Amino acid sequence: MDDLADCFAGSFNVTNVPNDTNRPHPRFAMYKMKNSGSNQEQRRQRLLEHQKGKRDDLINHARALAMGDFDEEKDEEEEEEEMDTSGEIRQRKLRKTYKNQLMLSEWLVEVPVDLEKNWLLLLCPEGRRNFVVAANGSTKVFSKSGKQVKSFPSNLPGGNRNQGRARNKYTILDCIYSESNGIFYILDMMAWDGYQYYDCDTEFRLSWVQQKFIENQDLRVRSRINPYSFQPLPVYKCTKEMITDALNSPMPFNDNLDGLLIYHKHVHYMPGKTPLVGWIKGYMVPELLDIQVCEDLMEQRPADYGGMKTYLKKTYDRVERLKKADEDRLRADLEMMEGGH
Amino acid sequence: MNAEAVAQLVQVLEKTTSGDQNDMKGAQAFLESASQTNLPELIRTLSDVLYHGANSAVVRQQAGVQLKNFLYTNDESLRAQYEERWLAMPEDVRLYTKQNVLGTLGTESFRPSAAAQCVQLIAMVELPRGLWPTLLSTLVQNVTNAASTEIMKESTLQAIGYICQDVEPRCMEETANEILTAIVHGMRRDETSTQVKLASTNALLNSLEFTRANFEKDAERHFIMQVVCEATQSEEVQVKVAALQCLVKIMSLYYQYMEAYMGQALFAITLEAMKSETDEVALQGIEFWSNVCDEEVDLQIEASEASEGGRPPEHVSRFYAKGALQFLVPALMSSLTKQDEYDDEDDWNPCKAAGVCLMLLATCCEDDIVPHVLPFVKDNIKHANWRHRDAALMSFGSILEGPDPAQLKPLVEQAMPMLIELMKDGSVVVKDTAAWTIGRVCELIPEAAINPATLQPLLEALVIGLASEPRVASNVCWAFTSLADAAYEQADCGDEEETPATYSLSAFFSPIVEKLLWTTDREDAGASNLRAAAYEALMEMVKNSPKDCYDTVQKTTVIILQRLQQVLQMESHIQSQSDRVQFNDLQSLLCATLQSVLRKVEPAHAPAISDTIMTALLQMFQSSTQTRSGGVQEDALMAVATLVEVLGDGFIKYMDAFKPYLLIGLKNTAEYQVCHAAVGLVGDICRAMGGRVAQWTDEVMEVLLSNLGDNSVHRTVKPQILSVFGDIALAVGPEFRKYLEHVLQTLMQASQAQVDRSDYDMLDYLNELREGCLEAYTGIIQGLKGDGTSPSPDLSIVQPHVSYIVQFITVVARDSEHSDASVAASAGLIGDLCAAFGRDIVQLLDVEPISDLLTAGRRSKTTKTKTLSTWATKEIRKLKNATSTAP
Repeated sequence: MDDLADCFAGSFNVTNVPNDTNRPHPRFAMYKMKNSGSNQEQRRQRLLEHQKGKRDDLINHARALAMGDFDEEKDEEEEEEEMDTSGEIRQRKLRKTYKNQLMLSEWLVEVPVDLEKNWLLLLCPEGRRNFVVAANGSTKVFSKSGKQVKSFPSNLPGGNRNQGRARNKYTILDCIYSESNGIFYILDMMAWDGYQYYDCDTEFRLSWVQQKFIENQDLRVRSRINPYSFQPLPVYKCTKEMITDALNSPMPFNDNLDGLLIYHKHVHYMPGKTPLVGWIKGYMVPELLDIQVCEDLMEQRPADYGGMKTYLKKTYDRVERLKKADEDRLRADLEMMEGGH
Repeated sequence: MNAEAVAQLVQVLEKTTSGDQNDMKGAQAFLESASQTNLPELIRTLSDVLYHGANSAVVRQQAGVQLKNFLYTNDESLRAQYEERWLAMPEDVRLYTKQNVLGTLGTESFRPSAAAQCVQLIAMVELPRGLWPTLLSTLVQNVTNAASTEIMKESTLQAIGYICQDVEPRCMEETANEILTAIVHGMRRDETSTQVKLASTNALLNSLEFTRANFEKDAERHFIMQVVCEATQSEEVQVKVAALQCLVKIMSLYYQYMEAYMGQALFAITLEAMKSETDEVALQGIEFWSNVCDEEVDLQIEASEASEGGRPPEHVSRFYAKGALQFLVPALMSSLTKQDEYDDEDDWNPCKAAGVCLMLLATCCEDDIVPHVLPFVKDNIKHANWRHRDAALMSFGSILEGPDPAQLKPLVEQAMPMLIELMKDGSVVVKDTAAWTIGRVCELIPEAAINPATLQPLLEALVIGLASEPRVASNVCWAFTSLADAAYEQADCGDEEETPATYSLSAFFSPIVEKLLWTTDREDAGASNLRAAAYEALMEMVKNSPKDCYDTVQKTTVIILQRLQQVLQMESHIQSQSDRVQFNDLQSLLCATLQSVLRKVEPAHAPAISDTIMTALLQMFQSSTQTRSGGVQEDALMAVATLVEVLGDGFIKYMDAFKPYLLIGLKNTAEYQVCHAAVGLVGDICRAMGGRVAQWTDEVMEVLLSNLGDNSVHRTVKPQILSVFGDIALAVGPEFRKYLEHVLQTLMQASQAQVDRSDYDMLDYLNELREGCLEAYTGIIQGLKGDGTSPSPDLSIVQPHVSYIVQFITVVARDSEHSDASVAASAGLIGDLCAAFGRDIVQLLDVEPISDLLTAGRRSKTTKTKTLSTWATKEIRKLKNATSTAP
């Protein structure tokens, strides 16, 4: 019946009048707008992506490209190939998540023999370790496990919309975030303005950070476009004098000292744990390095602290095991050689 | 003219107005049979009836309606057919009819003119084909001729307006000058007829898009702007509104030319309009500024892109919105206080428009808006009049996006106790806006909500709010959705583990979930989309729950399962269509919630509940198949997909019972979303069950292959089917041999698909299709290769196709518009080919397009593409080295 009535509609309804003020207004949906995330269409999209991810995982597993496998096995191969690659930027270990992207230290339980010559010291304030990526006009902050914890504009190259969205403009940093001060302290720089520094020596990376901050003072200053301050941390040589001086002077930040990071000068940036970055607490310094530190730091000792050996028993045990295995292997090699003769 | 036929038709048409259904049916039958016997004759006669002034107004109008019905249909799929039908008419019939409808203009005593629309509809078909060259000059003549009557000018201008609106602008550009002359003639100050002015103003509105050339000339632009501005001062509301609409559109089309008029005229005109007591006028005033904001936001983006590219921007923002803030904000605030107490939620009024405009201003002017709005908020938030309290809340909520969050955070923190307080306001409108504002805070500045000082009172107020009116409760649900997400993000403080042990909502988690479950069950949950909002909040809470809330997740799982069982029993009580809709929505929501709880359930706990789940889902499939409720089937299939993932090959025990419904889903090509979900699920099942899936694949493959070959199957399903071939091949391994010939044939066809490259959707489709082919090849090669280190003899079946596959990859590589995903899939396949065929293949792959593709892939922004391209490069290099060192 409706159809019939339509067919003989008493008057003309103009078919399509975009200007009709009685029609639902195009901005209507914006009024008290809610961004909802779970309607059927979005559920569908999420599931599709999930399925795609699963398929990738499976076929990449067959390619021995599943996480970890590829990274660890092939890395050595990459080191070798490095000689003959033609200056092309090589991507290492950037996986499809932001998980485990940071280079993590091991407890420093033995003093490296070449400490003074080949190692660098960073004083590390208390705060959260974050992976900071400035790209596509925004700056995103990820936790160690890859969860995005913040997103904001910043003056880092690639970090705000006003810089445009060029693909090759991005910056990746390894930071400590101090909540109380709203400061990102920069431990390391993996990429700056589209150039990758993963494969550069630590010494170069850390001095380059300092240079970048001399050139870009606006990163330190909080502003609408840069709501958090970014600051590099001073780098010290690992001489006894320098360490003594650093630990007995006011800290280069307002937070408490969390500990000391000791980087091997020549280590490239490699996500994951590495023995080429060492970590100790301030109060362990006298014990390990035989350097006195100020009383404030000593007071940070846990109540039941009974020295490094007990406090880090597991670590010491592991080191012992590794050493023993090394010796065993060496002995076996020697025996083989002798047997061969 | 055939007098007899005309008389008969007049008689028939007269009857259609009697209101008697039998008469109408009779008339319809007559027209139908006449159209079938001789449509050209019927059309000719209808145009006669329309043309002859001696006929009554209703009959003439009715003749116009019928004529229109033969020219145009609302059904888009038939429109081309209607056009063809008209064009196929004998030329004399078309000429005769056109002459009649043109001649009718100015002779009708009714509005709107039937002839004007018939002219438009014929013009839509004929103008683009150059078939009615005299039309526009005739129309212009009608308007500018001093002897023309008012009604002639009016109906002609209506015809011009309709034509400008619907005929493609490029067909009009040539005659733009003439048309504009006619239109502006009708808008002159000394035109005395309001109707003519209105018709010409509307026509101008429709012509703005193709009069760019006129706007580019100063003198012509000045003249048009003068006429439009004058028309905005008309006493007649309709003319005023139409003229203001013109200004709105001119502003977005010709922003860069407006500087001269902005300060002198437009600013004052629009601000005055905003303050008008007449809603329609005020709405256009507000819309003007909303439009300015849209435009200036775009210009700011353009500017930043230009500075990025190191070039000056083509157009620059004049920051009118920023400059006018001090005048705009008070006017908007005043509109905000004019709420309808019993608001029909579908009405668009100045109050709502002001709210939206304020949000747009905040996005456009960012920090600058804050000092203009805050004093109003402070002065009114405790006002005795609810309208003021609501307006204060609304303006506060509207500026939460745009200004720097760091600047807003302390303000919001300070405001939180007040917002919480207003959740208990006596006015529903105020409560609603308070809940919405809190929802915005939770979404945009969650740190201020999760703040320990406010969290507990906030959550208490929200939980109480769930029992409020549905519209309030619905906003509260949304706040929980954002809050759950934000709290979970915050919880992770660099922990290595995936799921945090606890988070800020832990202590309140159980009562919140309980109250949300209660909300989904409210009698009135059908209103304001409350039920869906509550389930969505529940899903987000579950999805973002830390370890110490697992107990509650488990309890929720049990409740959802009970509800699934109950809902199926409700079916027998369904009485109306709206009951059915509600029933279906509820099933969909329960399936979706089931997915979110299943993803949280510990693998060890899944088998204990899977029987119950599967029983309920099977029953749901059964009933939804009977009632053809595609939406439910789709959600149920997605729920099964989640269950498959959780159970792994434990799902096998359900396969026999489930298979019939899987096949029904795969065959449901009419509701392609269902088919799509079913195809995706086949992939999930393959991954979960591996080789054990072989016993079911024959039937599945048959349906998939037939779907691929079926043109009526929606195209979005096809790439997915190709990918799933890969999943099946990977699962069944050498068993796939039996399908191989057919599948390889199909892949060859699919990989040669071509599309209309000017259509971006089709280009996307092409890339998806190719990606599907690449994934299928990958699955087949990996599947046949097997796990062994030495190549399996089964691969020899694929060997003859290898050169085709490589050629296909080359085609993808050479396509300048290939997607990143297709590069990744190509790289993966290249590596697979190396691994499978060893050095036999290296020569084929060591070609420029492929090495270019891999080089580009290694530089991709996407990690997956990068990794795969690096890997493939190495695989090739390895083979090459082996080849070169070989003796």
